[in-house]
Amino acid sequence: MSAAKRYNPDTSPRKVQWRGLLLYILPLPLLPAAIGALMDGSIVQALAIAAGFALAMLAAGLIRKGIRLEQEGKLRRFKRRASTTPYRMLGSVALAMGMFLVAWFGIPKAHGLFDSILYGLAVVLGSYLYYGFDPARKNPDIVTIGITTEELIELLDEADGRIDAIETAGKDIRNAEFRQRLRRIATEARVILDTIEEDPSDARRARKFLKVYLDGAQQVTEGYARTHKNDDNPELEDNFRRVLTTIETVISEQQAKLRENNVSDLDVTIEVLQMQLEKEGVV
Amino acid sequence: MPILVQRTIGFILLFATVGVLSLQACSSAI
Repeated sequence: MSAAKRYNPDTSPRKVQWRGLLLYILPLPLLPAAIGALMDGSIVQALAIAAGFALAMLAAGLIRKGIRLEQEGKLRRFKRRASTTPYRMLGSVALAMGMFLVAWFGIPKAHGLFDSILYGLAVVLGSYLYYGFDPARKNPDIVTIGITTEELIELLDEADGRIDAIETAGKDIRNAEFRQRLRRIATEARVILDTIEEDPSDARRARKFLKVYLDGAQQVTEGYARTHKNDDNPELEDNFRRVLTTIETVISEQQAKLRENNVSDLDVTIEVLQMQLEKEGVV
Repeated sequence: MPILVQRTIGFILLFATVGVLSLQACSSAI
């Protein structure tokens, strides 16, 4: 048997995000500083340093999230506002506040109010220049379609996971015809995801398909694979065959509708399918 | 301003400030 594996870039582990890691590392000396100040009995100093440390950690998380969303957006060819929350700007402000507290209250007799404010401003400016902020609302590249990259990534990842589950469950089914049909269903469903990725304005229209319908298909397949590993039951096989036919119909209709940008009829088909799934007792 | 220059200035400004302040706080408290 060949040792070759199917090429599947999705299964490779997610790349480590190095950008923004220094934001976690550089404020680390604040931790022993807070403990030292506490042991000296300087409560205000210790509290200021601890608050500065906490704000710096919060800032690191926010800024890195902003960077990750932008990277995912680029990876998936989205050209739109990454998120409704300006994570990098919020992070920079949190870091600036933290550093202001450390400078003013955390280091005795070193910096005045004016100096401390300057440190805070330096942090915001530095962060803006180095990491950049999230695109503004007026950016002409940003098309308002009522869904952010963050929501879109979540939607597509979830759907991708469901298709993976259908494929995995399909491998456990002994019936060669079903296995082949499930493979084709997974491939066709991925085509739909690709279409949405290319034109995210379809996402809203396909939301029901991605959430409700794919979930139903996954449950049916997993249920069938689980219960029919060993015994053959011709009646249930027929039921499953009929369900597969409906799934194939809905997928091809969804593709057609995405092309036509009209989804109202499809919603009805999906509801019919749902009822059928319940009637056949496979969900 | 070229992006590399902008990034370098931002990097120095941001991490010098954070690094110096946290080291100052550490050395003054311990």
